[in-house]
Amino acid sequence: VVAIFTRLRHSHDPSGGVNDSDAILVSRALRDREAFAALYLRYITELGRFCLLRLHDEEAARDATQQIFAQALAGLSHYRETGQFRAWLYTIARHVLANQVSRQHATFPLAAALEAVDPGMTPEEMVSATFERHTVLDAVSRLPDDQRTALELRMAGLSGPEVAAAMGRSHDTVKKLQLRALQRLRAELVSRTTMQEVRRGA
Amino acid sequence: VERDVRDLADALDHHWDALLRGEVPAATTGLDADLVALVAGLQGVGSALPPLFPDPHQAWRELSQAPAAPTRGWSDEETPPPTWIHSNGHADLVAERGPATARPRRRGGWALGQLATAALLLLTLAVGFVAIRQSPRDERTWVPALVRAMEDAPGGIIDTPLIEATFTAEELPRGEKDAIYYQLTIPPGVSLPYLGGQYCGCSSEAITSGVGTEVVQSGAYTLRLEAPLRVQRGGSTGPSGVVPAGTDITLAAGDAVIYPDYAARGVIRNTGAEPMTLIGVAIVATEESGTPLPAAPPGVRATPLTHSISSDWKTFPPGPLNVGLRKVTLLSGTSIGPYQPVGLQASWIESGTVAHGFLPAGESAPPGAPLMQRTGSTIPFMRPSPGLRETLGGASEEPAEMLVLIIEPAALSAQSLAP
Repeated sequence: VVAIFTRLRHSHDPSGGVNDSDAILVSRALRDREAFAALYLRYITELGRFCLLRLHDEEAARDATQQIFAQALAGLSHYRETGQFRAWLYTIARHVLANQVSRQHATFPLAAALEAVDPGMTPEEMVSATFERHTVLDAVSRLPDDQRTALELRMAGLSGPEVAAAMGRSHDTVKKLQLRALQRLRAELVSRTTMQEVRRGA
Repeated sequence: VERDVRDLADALDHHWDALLRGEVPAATTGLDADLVALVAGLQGVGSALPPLFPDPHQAWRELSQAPAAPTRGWSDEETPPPTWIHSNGHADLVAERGPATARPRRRGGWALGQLATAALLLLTLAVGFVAIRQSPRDERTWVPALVRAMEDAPGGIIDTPLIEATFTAEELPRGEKDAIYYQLTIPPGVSLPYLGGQYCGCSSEAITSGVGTEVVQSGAYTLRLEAPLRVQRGGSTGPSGVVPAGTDITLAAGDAVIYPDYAARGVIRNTGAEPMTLIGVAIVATEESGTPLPAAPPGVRATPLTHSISSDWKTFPPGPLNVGLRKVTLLSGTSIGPYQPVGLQASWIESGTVAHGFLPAGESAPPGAPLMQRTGSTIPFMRPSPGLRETLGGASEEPAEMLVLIIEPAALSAQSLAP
């Protein structure tokens, strides 16, 4: 039983011209499993991105993304319409990913994904860009879990209110989380840069 | 300073949203160049990630053609492997599907079919007539008085149920009982024997009997009990299941455990890298067992938030109890009620300020100013008093977040749901 009185509506629609709300698509999917496709197509890209940011491994992220949708499909009858289907999906995602991360017990390089840099770059620029991305993602992964989640949801393409709904927190709380995360990230990156400069100097 | 932080957090959020919409933020007032660069960098890294599924339609076909979607196991060992066809071509985990068999069509009996259709239509009309006489919430087996009051409120309230459980009369402790609302923190790597009641700080002896429920707020909580327990994943709307006695189960933030036997022996531990914090309630017999409790390991912090007293239970009829924990967020200026609680209710204020007011029977205005409950304080259990109504309001600029514990006798809940 979820009674949400402040409903967050999702205005954007990345699922290829389908303008129906999540609620309408869910009601269709409850009657016809195939109708779930519209929801799948709407959220697969951003969820895949979120999984990749979390797991740092393309294959594992792909599996996790499919598992999230499989669980959502299996549990759709338990979903109670509150205007927060997306948040519900991300709740499942966080659980699936928590399981995956605890099984892996290792950090995975975002190798292939991060090599996909601008082909117009010079080799030096490519190396530099890849290194910077690795550094940033590594620093993000070391943040406290709620700060990390807020940033990763942001990086996956969610707006502030959507991150709040996905995390089950108030928007104001998420704003502060973001700020603290970025301040911490800045401190972390500054210290690393300093260390690199120290090493280079040495 | 707090206002500066809030302004900065607002500016950052607006800036990021604008960037997400593809707009070049016109002004970045209050944001320094580092933060602006970091946001742009993170956004850039996120959007530069290649799509995991170059052909989403094909990925959907693979998923939808897989057999029954996997559901999450209740024991870590039971968690099923993925059963869809991987996009890399691995399909060894997919069970074979049998050929579809067409149902034989019945011949003849046209009149019988028409008759059946007419009967079905009549039945549908009758059921529909009954259904429209009832409100949609009547479909639910338990709607706490607080929730009904929230549903009648104009808005600005976010209600997130964390766990709802019903304990049968047989599961509940006999004789005098006490309800303890508590928070428990276990440092990473610490393991300790599960002895119901000890970490709520309510007693120095192991309890004789009781029931309880806990919701993990953060970290990884692993437990093994010598009695079955129930687990609910990801909030009260998530899937639930029973974990057999002697089975390890690990819970993550948002997961909940229900103890039909809170006095069972077992082991609990934090298997994560961060401190594990949970919030829970135990309804235990006040009768002492005579078994002294061991001291808690260093770093384990048990905080009793509030507990009931014997007289609180006097108005409770015998029978099952509904117990629920929910997170309620009140935006500034919003309020719930006046409403009349059914059973016991206690709230721990996580953040912000809540104005707690009372309206005696027959009165239309509160006799005094509301009590201001601030961050970290608890609105204690109060024995329901006939006609006494309560109000809860957000009284701080930032949203007030509270964890509300509700204990209602099932018999009274059922009465209050009657049309």
